[in-house]
Amino acid sequence: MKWKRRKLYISTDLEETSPLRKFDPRTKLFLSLCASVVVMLPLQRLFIFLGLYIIFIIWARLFSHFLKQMDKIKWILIILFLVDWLVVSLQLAAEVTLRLSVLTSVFTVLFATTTPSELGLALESLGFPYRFAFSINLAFQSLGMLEQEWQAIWEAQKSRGVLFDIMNFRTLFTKVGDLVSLTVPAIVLATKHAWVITESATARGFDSPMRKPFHQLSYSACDWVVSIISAGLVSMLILWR
Amino acid sequence: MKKKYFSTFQLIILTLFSALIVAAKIALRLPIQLPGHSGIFWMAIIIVAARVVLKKGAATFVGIVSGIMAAFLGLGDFGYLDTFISYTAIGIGTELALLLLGNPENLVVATLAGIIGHFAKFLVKWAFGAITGAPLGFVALGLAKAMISYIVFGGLGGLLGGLTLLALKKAGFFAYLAEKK
Repeated sequence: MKWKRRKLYISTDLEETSPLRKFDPRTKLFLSLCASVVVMLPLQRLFIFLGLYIIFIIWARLFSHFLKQMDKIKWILIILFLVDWLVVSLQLAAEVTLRLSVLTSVFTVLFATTTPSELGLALESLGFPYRFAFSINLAFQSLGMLEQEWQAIWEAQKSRGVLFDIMNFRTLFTKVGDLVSLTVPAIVLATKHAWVITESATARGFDSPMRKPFHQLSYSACDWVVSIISAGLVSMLILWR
Repeated sequence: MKKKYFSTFQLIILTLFSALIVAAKIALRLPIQLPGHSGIFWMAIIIVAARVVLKKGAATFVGIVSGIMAAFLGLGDFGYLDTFISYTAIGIGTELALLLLGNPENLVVATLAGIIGHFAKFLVKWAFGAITGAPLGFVALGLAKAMISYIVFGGLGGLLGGLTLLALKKAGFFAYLAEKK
């Protein structure tokens, strides 16, 4: 077996056509948090929620994302359902399977319709430090470059014959030290880049107390309406007897 | 002006280490068909990050930022929430382990910190199973093989982190770094 390498292709799961793209990221974060609270509901109300949730994500054009998430865990869901059904009861099997499905997919609403920089702005407006939001953006912008660095180091070490021996678990166990030839150059290069970016950021007044974000978020009437409706629905589902 | 907890250089280097973790997860694949094997590079970089920025919260910061990145990129098998919490848990687990155990340049400490940090990710998976209401025995049984795998690869990752630190020290990396702070 050979070392596997994925083709360089880094992109987020962003769904540009979704109507949720127009909403404030804070609204989507709120929606996702509301939906994750619902996971603890009993079966009947969980079914009602799942019905409403599926209608919502079809409207939001996120159904393909939902299916993608489900596809990743389909075998776990099937085995869990069968084992719970055979050993305990059908009700528990359905409850566990639905809860896992909801928990796996609820944050699709946020992550599939928001860019990292929008999330950064949202976090900043929610009181998180600006530096944290900056970190998220910087990390995404550096990702492609760092992946190329990893691949270049990998190619270089392979041409030296360093990593040929690690082909299975046993050789990995005995030759883990050889992997230092990958990590050391990667760390040194990342540090060099960090220093260049630090100088550049400092020169541009990164820590200036007068700094203002270039883009600013605004919580529109639509955002308020969606937030209030979703909070109302979740409260109703929780309090309904 | 109020002094920031992490200097700009420390903040940026931790951010790049977070990105390095996610880039390694995408770019490097070992030919080993066992769950959690990507933890080798992951744990190694977190251990190095915790030593390079000698402040509390460094490993946690790396965990959180890499968790947000991984969630956006759709990595992980149990959805965005699980991915984010798993990565964050690794950071927090490593942080706590290093607080208790001390300097990661010691290979035993680094290995143990790697095991504890990576095991925190396993605990998140277990907690997810528990939240859904599945009987804990089934969850434990289902994850038994994964648990051993997480411990082994966490340990190997920690060891690699420790070896990387020793190699960096030998190469004069920390003297270079001292000038940059």
